[in-house]
Amino acid sequence: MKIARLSIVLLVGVATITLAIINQPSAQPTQAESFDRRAMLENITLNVVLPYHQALAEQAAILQEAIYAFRDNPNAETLSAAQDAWVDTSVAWERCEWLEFGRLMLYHTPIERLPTSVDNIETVIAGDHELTSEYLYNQGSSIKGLPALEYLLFSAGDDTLTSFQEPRRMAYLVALAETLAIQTQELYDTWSPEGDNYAETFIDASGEGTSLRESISMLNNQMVVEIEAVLRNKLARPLGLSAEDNLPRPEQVEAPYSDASTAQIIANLEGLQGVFNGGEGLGFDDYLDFLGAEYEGDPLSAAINARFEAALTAMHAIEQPLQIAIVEDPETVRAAYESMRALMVLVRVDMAGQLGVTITFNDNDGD
Amino acid sequence: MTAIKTWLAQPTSIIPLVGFRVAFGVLMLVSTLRFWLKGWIAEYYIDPTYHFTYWGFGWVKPLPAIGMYLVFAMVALLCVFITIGLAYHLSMALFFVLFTYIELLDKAFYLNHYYFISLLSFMLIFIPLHRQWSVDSWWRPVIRTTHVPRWTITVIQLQIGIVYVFAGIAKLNPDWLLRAMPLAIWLPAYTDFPLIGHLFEHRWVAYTMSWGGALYDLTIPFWLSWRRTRWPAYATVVFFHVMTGLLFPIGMFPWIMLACTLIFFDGHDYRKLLRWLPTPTPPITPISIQPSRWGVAILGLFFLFQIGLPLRHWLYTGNVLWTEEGYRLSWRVMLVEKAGFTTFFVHDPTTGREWVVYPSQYLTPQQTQQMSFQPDMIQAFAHHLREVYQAKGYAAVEVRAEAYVSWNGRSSHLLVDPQTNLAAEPRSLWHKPWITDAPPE
Repeated sequence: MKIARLSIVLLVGVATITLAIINQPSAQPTQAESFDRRAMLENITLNVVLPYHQALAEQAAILQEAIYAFRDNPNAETLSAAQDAWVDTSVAWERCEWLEFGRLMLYHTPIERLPTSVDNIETVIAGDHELTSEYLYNQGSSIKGLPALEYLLFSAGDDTLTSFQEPRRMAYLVALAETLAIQTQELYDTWSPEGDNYAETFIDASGEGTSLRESISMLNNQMVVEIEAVLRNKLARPLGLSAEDNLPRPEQVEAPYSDASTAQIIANLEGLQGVFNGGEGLGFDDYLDFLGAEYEGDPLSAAINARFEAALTAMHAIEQPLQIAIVEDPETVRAAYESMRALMVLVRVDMAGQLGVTITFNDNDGD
Repeated sequence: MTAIKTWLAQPTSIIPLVGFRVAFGVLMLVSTLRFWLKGWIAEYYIDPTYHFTYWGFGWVKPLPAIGMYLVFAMVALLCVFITIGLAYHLSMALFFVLFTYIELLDKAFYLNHYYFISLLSFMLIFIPLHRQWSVDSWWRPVIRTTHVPRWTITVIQLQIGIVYVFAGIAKLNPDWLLRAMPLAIWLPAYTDFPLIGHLFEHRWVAYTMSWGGALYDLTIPFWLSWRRTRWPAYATVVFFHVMTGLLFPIGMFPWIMLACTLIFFDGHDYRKLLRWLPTPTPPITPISIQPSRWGVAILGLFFLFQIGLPLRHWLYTGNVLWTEEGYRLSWRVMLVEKAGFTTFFVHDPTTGREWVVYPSQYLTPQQTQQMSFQPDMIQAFAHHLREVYQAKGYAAVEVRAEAYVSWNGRSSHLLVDPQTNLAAEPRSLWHKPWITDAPPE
C-alpha cells in the first residue's frame, strides 16, 4: 500500500509543478491559438505551385508559337523572339524544377536533364529519322528539353540564323519545341485538380494521421536540396571553388550558350521564396511565426526572408553573363555564393530544426 | 549476502523464459525482414562508399553485397532457430556475433535499441531459454526442466531496468523538464493525429508528456517488479509505447520493449492469462543451473560496464547534449531535436589553394544528416578527406569544417572551431577541445 500512496503523492507533485511552470508568464511571444497546416499546404499547392506549373506550360506554348513563326519566316527578328521565349520558358521552369516529389521525376527529367548530349543531338540531325514530336517524345532526355533547345537556339552565336538553313536542324528545333510544350502541359495536368490531381495527393498523401507532416517535411527537404544544387552545381563548380586547381570552369554554368544562368538562379530563389511565404496567403513564414521560431532574437521568418532578399540582391549585382562574370568579376559571384550559403544555414538548420521534421528526412528509423 | 544468494537461487517457473524466447525470436525475425524489405541493407551497408566506424573498431568492414545479404539471411534463420529453441546456445551466440557485427559497421545508423539487442543477446547466450517447449528439449529430454533459478530471470529484468532508469535519468535536464524540449517542437507537427491531435499545439501537453515520460522511465521497472502493480504497470507500458510508436518514427523499438517487459510476469501470471497452457514436462533427471564463479564475474563486469557507460559523460567538460561526448551507448532516447549543415574546406599548404567539399558528394543523406551534429563523425570525415586527397597525391591537406547546428529550437550555432585543422587532431576518446561551448538558450 505504501508504494501506491507514494505514487499518488508523486503524481500530485508532478501535476503541481507542471501547472506552476505553465502558469508562469512565458518569455515566448504570445502564441495564436492554433495554426491550420492543411490550409497552409493547400494555399502553397493551389496558389503558388500550381500557378508556377501553369506559367511553365503557357510559356512553353508561347515558345512553340515563336518557333513556328521562326520556321515560317526565318530572320533575325523571329530568331530573337524565339530566343527570348526560350529564356522566359527557362525562367518559368526554374521556379518549378525543385518541386519534384515521387513519381513527378518522370515528368521532370524530359524537361531538363543535364548535361545535354551535344554529340547525340548532332548525330540525330545528321541521321535520317523523321524529326517529329512523336519521335522525340520517346527519345532519351539528354537530347531534348530546354538544354537541347538552348543549344540549337544559341550555341552558334552569329551563325545561328544561317545554321537553320539546314532543314533537319529546323525540323529538330520545331520537334523539340512541340515536345517541350506537350511535356510541360503533362506536368501541369499531373498537378492540376482537373487532371491527375497530384496537388491533392501532395497535400494529404494518404488521408491518414501524420501525412501533413510528411508533406511539410518533403517541402522543406526539397528546399534544402535545391539550395544545395544551386550552391554546388550552379555556383561553386563553375567558380572553381570545389576544384583542387581553383580554376574557373565557365562551360559548367547551367546555361552556357544563352547568358541566362543568372536569371535561372534568380528564378530558383524566387520559386523557393514564393513557396516559403505561400505567396500572399499562409506559408512557412506564418507557420514559423505561429511556432514562435526565432533567430537570434528576431522572428525566424523575417531572418529567412532577409537572407532571400540578400541573395537576390547579390545575384542581381552580377552584371555580366555568369560564364563571363566568374572569370572577370569572380568577387561578385563569390559574394552571391556566400549569401546563398547563409540562406542555406537558416533553411537547413534553423527552419528544419523548428519544424521538427528532421527525424524523417528520409524513411529511416530514429530514436 | 547469503539471503540474496538464496533468493537468486530459488527455483521459479521457466514459463517466462520460454515466453521471452519466443517473443524475442519472432520480433527479431520481423525486425530483420522489415530491414531487408525496406531496402536498408543496400542503403546502409552496400551503397555508402565510406563508413563511420566506432573508435577501436575500424577493422570491422562490410562484406561485398552478396555477403551482406547472406549475413542478414543468417540472422533471420537464427531468429527462427531461437524461436523454436534449436541449437539454442549456438544460435544465440551466432546471433549476437552477427547482429553486433552489423551494428559496428557504421555509427551513422546507431540506434539505442540495436545496442540493447546486442547486450541482451550476449546475456541470453548464457540463459537457458530452451529447456522447455523447444526442439532442443524434445531431442534431448535430459535438459528439460520446469523450474529455473530465479537469477536467470532477474538478470534480464535488471537489463531492462537499466535501460529504463538511465533513459529516465537522461531526461532530468533543463531542456526536457523546464522547456519541454524537444517534445514542444515535435508534437505540434502531429496536430492531425486522430482524436487527441488538436491538443498537441498546447505547451502544457508537451510539459505533461515530458514529465510523465521521465517519471515513467525512472519508475516503471519497479512497478513491473511488484506483483500488486504489475498489471496496471504493464497497461501503462502498452499505452506509453503504442503512443510513442504511433507518434514517432522509431521503428521496432516500441514493440521490442512491449515484448521484453513480459519478462516481469511470473509463472502464475502466465497461467492466469493463458489457461490453455499445458503443464511443462518435468525433467527426467533434474540438473542444476548455477552460474560458475567465472559466470558470476562476467555478469558482474557486464553490468558494471553498462552502468559506467551512461555515466562517462561526466568525465568530459561541456553539455553532453551539445558536444555528444559520451552520448551514445547511454540510453539517451529521443532526447534532442538537432539539425545541422556541414561544409568542409580542404587546404593544400604546399600550394596555398583551398577548395570546398560538400559531404553529400561522399555520403548518403542519412550519413550526412547524422554527421552534421556529431563532432566525432565530422572529425572522422575530415580524416577521410585527408586520406582521399593523399591518394590523389596531396601529401598532407588540412581539413576544416564549418558546421552549423540548431539544438532544441535554439538559433543555429557553430559546433566546431572553424579554424581547427581537424585532419591533424588525433582521433581518440579524450575530450575534443575544438568543440565549441553549448549556445545558451
